[in-house]
Amino acid sequence: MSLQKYLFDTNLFIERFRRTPKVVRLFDELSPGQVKLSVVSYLEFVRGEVGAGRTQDAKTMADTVGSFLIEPLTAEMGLYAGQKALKLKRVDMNDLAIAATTLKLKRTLVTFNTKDFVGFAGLRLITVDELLE
Amino acid sequence: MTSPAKSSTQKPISLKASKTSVKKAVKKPLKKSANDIFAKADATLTREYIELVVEAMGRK
Repeated sequence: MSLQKYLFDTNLFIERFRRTPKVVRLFDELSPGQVKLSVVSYLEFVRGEVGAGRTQDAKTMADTVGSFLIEPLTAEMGLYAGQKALKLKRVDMNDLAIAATTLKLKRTLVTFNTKDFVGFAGLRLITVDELLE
Repeated sequence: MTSPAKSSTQKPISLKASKTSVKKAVKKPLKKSANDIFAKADATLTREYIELVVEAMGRK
């Protein structure tokens, strides 16, 4: 399976931690080098684990996703996400930043929640089901 | 026929070490899957903890 052109949304990793069978199946077909995520997704896991009371020595979920290839958020991506936030009147900057990263890198976002990304012209989305077909 | 004298620099342990290396190489899987990265998480994290983190992330 060639996945060089994909970026994985945060919810893919959440479902993998939950051991959702189709996500486990998808990850089984991938090498670690084929899984790419936004640095924003990594920070979401750090925030979650800090919120859950974890310490520097025991942030297993963040360390796990941090082992994959992390795409940085550039100033250009940040500006695009900010403009979209104003235009769409949205404050959920994480999804906006992930969408901006996907667009600027010309990737396709693998996600469970396609409705989170309505309003992004040119943003290519694909679900796990579509990917496994 | 006499066997050659052992030099003081010979290290019998090196032969043993190389055998071990070959054994490890044969057992080593050819391909590592992305699931292998989750091995520690799968072995140590409870479902309750995962849901606590997801909630703190503001995700569902």
